[in-house]
Amino acid sequence: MKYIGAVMIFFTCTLIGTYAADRKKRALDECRAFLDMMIYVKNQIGYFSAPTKEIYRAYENNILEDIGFLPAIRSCGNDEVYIDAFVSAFDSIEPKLSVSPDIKRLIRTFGSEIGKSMQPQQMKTFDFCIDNMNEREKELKTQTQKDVKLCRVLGISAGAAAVILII
Amino acid sequence: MNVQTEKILKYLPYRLSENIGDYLTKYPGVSESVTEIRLHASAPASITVNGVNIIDICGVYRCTPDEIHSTLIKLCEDSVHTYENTIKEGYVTLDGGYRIGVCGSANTVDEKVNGIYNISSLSIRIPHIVVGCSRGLLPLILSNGKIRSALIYSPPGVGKTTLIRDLALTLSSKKSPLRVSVVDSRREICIGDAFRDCIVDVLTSYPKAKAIEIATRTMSPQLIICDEIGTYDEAAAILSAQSGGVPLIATAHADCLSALKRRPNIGLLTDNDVFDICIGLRRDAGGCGFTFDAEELK
Repeated sequence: MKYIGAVMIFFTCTLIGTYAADRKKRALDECRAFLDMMIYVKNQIGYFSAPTKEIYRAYENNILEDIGFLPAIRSCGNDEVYIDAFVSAFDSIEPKLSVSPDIKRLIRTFGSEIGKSMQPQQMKTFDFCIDNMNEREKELKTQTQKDVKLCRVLGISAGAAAVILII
Repeated sequence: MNVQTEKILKYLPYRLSENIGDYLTKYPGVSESVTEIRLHASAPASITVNGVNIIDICGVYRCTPDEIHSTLIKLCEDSVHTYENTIKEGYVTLDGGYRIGVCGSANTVDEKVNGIYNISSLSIRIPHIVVGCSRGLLPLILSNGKIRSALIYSPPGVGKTTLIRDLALTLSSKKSPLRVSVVDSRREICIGDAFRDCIVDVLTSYPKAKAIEIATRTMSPQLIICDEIGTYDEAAAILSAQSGGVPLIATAHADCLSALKRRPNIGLLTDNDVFDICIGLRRDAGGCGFTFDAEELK
């Protein structure tokens, strides 16, 4: 019985560690997904002057789909007056996001510029946001690798410590 | 309320939209005759009804510069960049044939408009399909069953586009319809489903000169209809198309025939006998129909 309990505690701690590591990884995935979309939007506007509605309709990304951002942005296409689709979709899913407030602010700044002015002005804001996002993504990547390792090691260590104590 | 007017109200600043709605409810007959809604930054907004500008629309409403900008964004469906080229030319055309005149401060490079900022005025022109308004024009342009080339002129806002829209509809949809090519550079003529029973070839958003050339060369039209000609390229393309024997109905801005002929590129066309007839367009006293002042050129 004692051994079964020890094994269960070990697995629970390991799972908690893995879950915490996944959450850290999720923030990085979200950051990358938004960065990809930002680059896509920039290219569509910069090269093709595509209407925003068409850009959002054509864009595919599993992560943004799963967190509900793409469905939310596409649903704005049915609005009587189409405006601020990116920002309103972003606001609707923001509480669910794992990325830092800093990254959220960058995404929002990017979104609030889409389609609001002529191409050169938009490009300036897009470049600023994308450059900053790239930096954040690099920092986040390094940090996430450390954090993931730490979470897993902590989980396993805590589990092992508990097992030793029990036994 | 007129559907076209009602549709555009949704895009306007809320209070202005409410004021116009109240005004049109107060004067129910007016709704069909609203031809323009004009927004000015820090100055009164106005509506134009049968050529008369009205500022007191259930109160005077002054738009803020931000409201003007956000109205343009709404009209462009959050895609100002898509309309950038035409905004530099001073207008935006939306689905349904709405033309929005845009003006503000221009950023120029080598005499070319590079961008527009501080947008200060929007002039929203509401399209109308007036079925049968070209009835009075037909006897003037038809001779022995053949269509003659005609140049229709009037000052802006009288109804040239409405007239040639109905003309294109009439000539391409009756019992023995003609193959009509419509050069609709600003997407104003062929609106909505109006042309679904017609044999019209619509050349949308082409430069007019190129569109006339393409229509003549590839669509074998029996008539070309073109709105608002005036540049040298357009005149040259028309001259070239005319040698192909395709009659042309075109419109131009002018308040009288002499003023029309004084325009150098139009003068080039009239001097070369491109048009058989020049037709001046005026609104009837009631503002409901048109009066034509025809002058034979040949």
